[in-house]
Amino acid sequence: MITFLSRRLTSSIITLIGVVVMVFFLARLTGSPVDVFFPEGAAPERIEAFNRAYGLDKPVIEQFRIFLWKALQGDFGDSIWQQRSAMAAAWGEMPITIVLAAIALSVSTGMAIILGSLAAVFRFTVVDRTITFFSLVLGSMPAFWFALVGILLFAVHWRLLPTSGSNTWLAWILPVATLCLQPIGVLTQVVRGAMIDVLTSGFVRNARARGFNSRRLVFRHALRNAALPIISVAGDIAAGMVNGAVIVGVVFAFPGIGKLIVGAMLARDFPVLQASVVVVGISVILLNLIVDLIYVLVDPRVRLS
Amino acid sequence: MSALLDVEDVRIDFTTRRGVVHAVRGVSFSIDQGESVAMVGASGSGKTVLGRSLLGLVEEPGEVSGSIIFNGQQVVGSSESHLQPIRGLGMAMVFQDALDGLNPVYSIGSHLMEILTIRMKKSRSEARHEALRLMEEVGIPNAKSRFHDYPHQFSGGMRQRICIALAIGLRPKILIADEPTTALDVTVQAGILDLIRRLQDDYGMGLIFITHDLAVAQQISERVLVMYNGEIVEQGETREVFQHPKHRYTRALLASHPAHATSWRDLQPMPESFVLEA
Repeated sequence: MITFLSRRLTSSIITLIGVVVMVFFLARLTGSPVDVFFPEGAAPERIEAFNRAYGLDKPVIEQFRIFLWKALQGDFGDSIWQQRSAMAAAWGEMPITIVLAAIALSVSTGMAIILGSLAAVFRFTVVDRTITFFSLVLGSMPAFWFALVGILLFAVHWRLLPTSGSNTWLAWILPVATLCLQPIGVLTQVVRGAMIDVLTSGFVRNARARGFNSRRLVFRHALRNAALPIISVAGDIAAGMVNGAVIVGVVFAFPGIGKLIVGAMLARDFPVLQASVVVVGISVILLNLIVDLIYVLVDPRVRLS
Repeated sequence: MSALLDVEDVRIDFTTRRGVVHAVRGVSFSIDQGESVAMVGASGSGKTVLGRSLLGLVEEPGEVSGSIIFNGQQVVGSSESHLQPIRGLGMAMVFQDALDGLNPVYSIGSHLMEILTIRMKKSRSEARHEALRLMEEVGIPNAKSRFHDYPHQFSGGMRQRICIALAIGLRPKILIADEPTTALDVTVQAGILDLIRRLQDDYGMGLIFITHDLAVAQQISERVLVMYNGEIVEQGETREVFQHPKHRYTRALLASHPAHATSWRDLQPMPESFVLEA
């Protein structure tokens, strides 16, 4: 178990380093922060001072060597635009993203378990076909498209919800829905498949033959067995919430790591971009560890092998 | 005086895309308290689905008609909530797929605790005591230390013993055993059969033993029902049926069984006309 976890951890750290390297070079392909920071015709000595302050006067390879050396010591440099360290900026935006992702994940998992179980219990009936149809529709709907249509209908046309912000709970509805809808569609189909497998298994039939009621069969006997595929897909979805956070940050100007990353990219605030990617990477690694641990808790067969 | 279980003209049809399959075509029999009956027949003869119908466990698209009266209560057409008290407590069933019979995420102990606390309404301490007793009764060595083990840590034979414990723990009036040894090693089979026979005596249960093995049927039953193509073609006292089979199919079945031949020359293959497309 411990060797398994440490192997997982090592491979994720290698991936993380790879991602950081890519972000470092790709970001520099977009151009120099100077073009964004200074107005046209700014004094050359000011530009030179700026380049020196952020180490941009050295060759890229040299810049990378310095970045890597400092990063290994935990120093990701200071933000070009904000008066604070890049790491502080990135960590500062994580809490609201984590809260948003946690709400979206709970809502989508909860809905998917209810809908998928209903479809499985009433398989091949009208209930099942209706749920399957809508989960397919939701599952194939692009999140950014829903976000735009959502604003158009609920905020502009009916004026029920605000278009942006995060101050009132109403402002959370569209962002959460944007993050939820596709996962609900995908997860509902996973839950349905897993539940049908389990509900037609020998041990559920045996429990039924012992006179237990359907509620007990579904919730005690079936659901926990169906949990493994659900957990692994839900884990992937949780990791994918970062993409959702970016969309939500752009479309709804919703604060969080997504908005920070997009902003840093447009402003060529390289230190913040690099720090954010590391923070997101660490969160995904932690998430995967949590998923592995839940696996072990749910299934005794994983525990012992 | 009516019997404990009275089956009258039961028919089971499966409507498929390619037409209706008549799995059981008008079967009648009855069983008294404490009686042991073997239901023999080739695979596809309808014996398993007939066994399941006794507990109302035939699933869509199967349709049961006729009458199955257990202890004065009609099973055919009853709702789930009416069937639940009969299932397990009235008639308990042991199935053939021993390996898939226990829930992999719950320990052996919690399987037993579940039936004892939920179905038998025992307190936790009583239930724990009874669970250990049942494990010993079905021949699990070191019951106490294996209480918290999971199904995948048990062999096939041991799992089937636990399934049997889960059936008899409910103190049913009738135990339905559907080929309980088919999935198991030959060496394990004899032990399971002995166990079922002993428990039937000790608990005074009726027994319906579904099998395709004539030797097993002969050992375990007082009465035998011979099924062929969805019908009971012959029924009677086990000894009588085996010594003086009346129906052509029973005769053919016996003639094809090694135990009834003195040399291999006497063995007769099952005539082509009796072979079911299964």
